[in-house]
Amino acid sequence: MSSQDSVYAVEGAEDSASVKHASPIVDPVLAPYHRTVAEMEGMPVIDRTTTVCPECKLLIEGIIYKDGDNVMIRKSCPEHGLTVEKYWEDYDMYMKMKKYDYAGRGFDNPNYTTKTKGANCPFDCGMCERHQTHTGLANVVVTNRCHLSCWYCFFFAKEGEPIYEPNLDEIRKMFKSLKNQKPISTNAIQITGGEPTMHPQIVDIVKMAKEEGFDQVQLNTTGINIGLNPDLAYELKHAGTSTLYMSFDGVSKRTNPKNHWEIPMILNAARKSKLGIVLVPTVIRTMNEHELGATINFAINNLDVVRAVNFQPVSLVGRMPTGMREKQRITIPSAIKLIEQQTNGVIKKDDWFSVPYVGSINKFIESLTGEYKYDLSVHFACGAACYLFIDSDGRIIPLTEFVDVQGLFEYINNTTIEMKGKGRLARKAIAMKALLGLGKFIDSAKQPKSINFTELLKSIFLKHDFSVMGKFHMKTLFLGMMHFQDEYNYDVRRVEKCAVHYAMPDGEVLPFCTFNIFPEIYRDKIQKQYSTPASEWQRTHPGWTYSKDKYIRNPKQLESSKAYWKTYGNLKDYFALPVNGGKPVANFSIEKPEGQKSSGVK
Amino acid sequence: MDRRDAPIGTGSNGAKTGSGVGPYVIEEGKQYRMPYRMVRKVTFSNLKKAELLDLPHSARLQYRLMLLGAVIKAAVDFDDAQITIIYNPSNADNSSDKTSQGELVKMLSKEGVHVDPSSARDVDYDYYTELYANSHNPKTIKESPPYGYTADEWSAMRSKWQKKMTETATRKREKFTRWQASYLNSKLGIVQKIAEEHRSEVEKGSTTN
Repeated sequence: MSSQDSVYAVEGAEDSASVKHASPIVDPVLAPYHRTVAEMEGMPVIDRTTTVCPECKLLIEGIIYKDGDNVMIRKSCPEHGLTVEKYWEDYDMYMKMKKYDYAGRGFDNPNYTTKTKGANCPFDCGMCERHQTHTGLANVVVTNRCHLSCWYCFFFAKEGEPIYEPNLDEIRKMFKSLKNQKPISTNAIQITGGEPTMHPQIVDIVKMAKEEGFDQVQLNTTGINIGLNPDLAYELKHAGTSTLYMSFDGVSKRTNPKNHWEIPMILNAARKSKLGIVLVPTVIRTMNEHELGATINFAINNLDVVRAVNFQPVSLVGRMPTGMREKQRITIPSAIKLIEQQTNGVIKKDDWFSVPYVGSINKFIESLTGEYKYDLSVHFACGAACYLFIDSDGRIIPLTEFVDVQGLFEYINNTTIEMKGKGRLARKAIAMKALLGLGKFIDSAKQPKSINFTELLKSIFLKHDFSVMGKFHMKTLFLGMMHFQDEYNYDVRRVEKCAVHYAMPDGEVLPFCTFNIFPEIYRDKIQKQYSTPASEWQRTHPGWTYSKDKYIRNPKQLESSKAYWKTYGNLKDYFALPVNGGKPVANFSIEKPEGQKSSGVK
Repeated sequence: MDRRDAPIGTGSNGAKTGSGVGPYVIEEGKQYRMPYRMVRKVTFSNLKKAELLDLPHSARLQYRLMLLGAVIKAAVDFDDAQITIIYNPSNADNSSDKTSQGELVKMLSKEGVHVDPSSARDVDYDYYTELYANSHNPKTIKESPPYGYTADEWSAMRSKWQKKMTETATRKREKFTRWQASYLNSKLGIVQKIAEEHRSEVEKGSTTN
């Protein structure tokens, strides 16, 4: 359930749209929320968009403006007043990432067409013809049952609520609908819930996904059932699971109460079965933002099984007190800057790039070959990426340290433009000429000793073969940032370009930020239509109860295991190595058995 | 199979399906939950634009209509001053939330939009054949060529690309099957059970279907 952990809801009493009067604010992080109206109106406007009132969902204008280093959004509802929220906590980064925004193709066969062609977006969803980006990652919910009861979660079935658990035929039908999308269907599917391993036929579901042609099959999971039942890891791997997209909110017990104690077992099961893991921290300011660097270090310690860390700044869904919202809000640039601080500059702000950058490679290959490739036309504010190489001496090398990423992508873009309108042979000639020039963007003196990046790029471009990346994949770590929206920072333009979609049993396909932000008319409504009432479920599943689904752990027993101490007690601080500057990562601590003090450097 | 004849809750030969409870349709021997079958679609036209106010308020009205459990879909068209609602009527044979045209008229009135029920067009609507079937198998409304190509260039290349995609899919499937065999061979003991299951499936000539 990791991607859905971004949603955080508190039934609050305060009006979330109240206007604050100027008051002395010491914390610069909170200051942008406390300007006067006159001050805000005097600040430079960067852009205008359509957003929603968090109270009544009226479509209103959102003004995106610069407040010092911050990019903010303000919106005024005639009935509920002004709402101010952080959009992007770094103006320079915003302007840099914005350069590569582009409109994609969308769907040639949208699931839901309206006479108004989606004019009432985001309330015309289904997917409509207005949508600009094809499905890049499809989510399919296979159950709303969960073995945990996280206090901030609204996805799992509570006592007496209907059970949503489609059968295999219904799930296969959703898979087929996704593969039927034109001009290009998604290659990647994420099976989610609730907790998907609660579905009794989860292995068959993965098998079906492979049969229907999905190359990448992910399970969005706590991992607990896999850790407790290692056989399941083998079965899932054999069936075709590529990775576990696994919740991991931090290295310590306090920051990761969800599955801290089971992580060692999960890693072992994944290690033995060769399952890959993506660690997915939901980042909430004041709760776990101090362990971002330590999380990356943890991932590097487990590079044989961890493929990536995908940070998800929290999505604040539901009414919550304004003060709490301000304190807990964190955006992608802030998380990136915290990583830079916590890793002592080893992973810098400039090492990150937005998703549309990479779209230029796919456009190049498409222009050369005439074959559809993934269109990475997501909104630039939705995510960011960084690629780390870990050399044989432990040196951590971000891709941008030896590749002029910006220059390379611009060069490829220009080549794509040059190919337009040319015949097949002329395109090939242009491409060959461009490939010969790739070397000037790569500093071979700084690249990892174990790879020849120029040759690797040529292989990708000439053979369109991304599997060559797998050859050195054991020594790399992908870092991602994915920030799902909420009603406070909602930007309809981002929704129109969303690539993370949910397939629904009624045939509709919904972007993440309509499915989850307006669950009352999408997720919950449609799932309820297709759910089994509690009484019917209990009749057809004799002996089943809601409480029997719940996992109860014995923390002391788990903490006393060898695996636990091996995982948390033997961590190496890679950032403290002399090749990486010699300074320890922030909040790195080594757990010790009870009776001994935890050690480490803060 | 003519979808309009698909029975709910029973097999195509009249036999009870699955658990024998709940609304389902059977397609080619497979069971799919179907919360609705015959519902209603009402269109209110010639509304006063002054009451719809503007596009943002029309969108919000659409959202408010969708909040009602008995409303399956709603579309408020500000430009044509029209509201279309697909709803689960009071006499529907299902256990989902229900409503009536009269209740919808009242709700709209509370929102400041006064409709004339006598001029409303309220017809039967087959949820299964109209909404469900079309969503799962939507029509193609345009054709986008690959980047850098015109529509004419693409129409000359399309069949070659489709053939290549089919060949690629087959190759990928074969490669995955070979990998599965090598994975089983590399792991002993604990996956013997999986290996035996896989062998018997291969012998049967099919996997889950």
